[in-house]
Amino acid sequence: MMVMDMKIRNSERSSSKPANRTVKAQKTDDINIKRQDSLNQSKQAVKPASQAVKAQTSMILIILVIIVFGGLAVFLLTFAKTFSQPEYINLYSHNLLLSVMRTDTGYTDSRCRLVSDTMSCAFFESDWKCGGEGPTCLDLLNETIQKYVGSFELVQKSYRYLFIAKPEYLSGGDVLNPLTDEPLRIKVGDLGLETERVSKIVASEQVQKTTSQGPIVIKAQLILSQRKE
Amino acid sequence: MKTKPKHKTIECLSEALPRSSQFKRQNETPSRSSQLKGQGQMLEYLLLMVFVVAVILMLMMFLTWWQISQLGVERAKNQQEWSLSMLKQFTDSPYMTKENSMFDDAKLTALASMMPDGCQRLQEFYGDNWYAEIRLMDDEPVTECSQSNYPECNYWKICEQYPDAEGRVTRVAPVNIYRNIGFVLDVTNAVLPRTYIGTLTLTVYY
Repeated sequence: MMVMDMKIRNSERSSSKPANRTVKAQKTDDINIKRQDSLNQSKQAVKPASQAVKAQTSMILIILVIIVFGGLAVFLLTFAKTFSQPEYINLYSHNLLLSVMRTDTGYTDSRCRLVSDTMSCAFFESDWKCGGEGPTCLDLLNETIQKYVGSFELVQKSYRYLFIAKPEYLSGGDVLNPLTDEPLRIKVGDLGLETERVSKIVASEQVQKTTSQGPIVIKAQLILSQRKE
Repeated sequence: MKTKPKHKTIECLSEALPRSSQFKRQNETPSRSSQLKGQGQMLEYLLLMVFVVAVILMLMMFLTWWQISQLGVERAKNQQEWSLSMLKQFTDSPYMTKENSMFDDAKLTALASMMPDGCQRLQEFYGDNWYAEIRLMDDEPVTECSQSNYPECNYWKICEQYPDAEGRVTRVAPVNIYRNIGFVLDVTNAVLPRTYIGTLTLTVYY
């Protein structure tokens, strides 16, 4: 194409007769042809670069749209998670502790009749045998707590539990063991729950009792934690 | 004999043609390529537009699905809250309990078997679409309480059950059941009340 143009121009330049055309017009045409040539050359050089830029822009645009779309989907899906029921579990654990403490053990003597009665007996009358020849208060407490708490389906299937009872004076302060000088505690269940750093539900109740050491408050806690599968 | 050179003929031809038509001929081939290029660009934009429209349509479909699923979630949430509220009301109901979370077996037996309109009366207070069961945990086989077998029973059913009801939400809570005839003492034949542990199972449905 370029060769053809050059030939035509050479032939024009070599010809002696301008054939009804002025010199000025011929010059203008020459300039036009030169411009066209340079334009074609520059277009051919720019063409691949501009196409690549355009393709890159399109790609970036598509990727951006995909990212925005994906981000929106993820953002919305975070709200779609099944809502947990902390209020229900809280109510369940409080009801469980309260119900267990108010339940009859099966013995009719005043120290062993209810589970809450056996707690104070276990702390302050450890030698007492329920029903005359039955288990000690501490043994009965261990047995009833394990039996009652463990009989619930929720605990059986998916929750670990720890029951803690500790006596405190009405004025405040722990009741100490006279032999070891350590605070009195009764713990039944999964002992590891006390120290483990896991999500826990804690239900608390207080029972006031009059003992040989004066009026005391027994604080009972039931700690529940979901089992890890 | 004089022969004309060939290149002279070409020169003459080129001279004979006006300059403007030469210019047009020069541009003939580039215009076809630019036409193709234009078509390519059109196709490119068309594809891009199709993709953008597809993305917008997908977005619209996703948002519509999202709205619908949110409605379902909201409905389920309301149902959960309603069941929890019912559970709290039930464990504190003066028609069935002696004190908070402690059901009175005499009241339960009366409601469950002695009053034919017991359920309707309760529904006037607590609304429709629910039923409840109270089970005493005594390791005995389940025996529904009625006037004839009281107190040799351990299960009370309040209102008709619909196990296939749509949108059922069931809540279980540990409760106490107070029984007037709990202990019968061997020596004196005296009767003492006894508090048992049990479960309240409450189901609400649409």
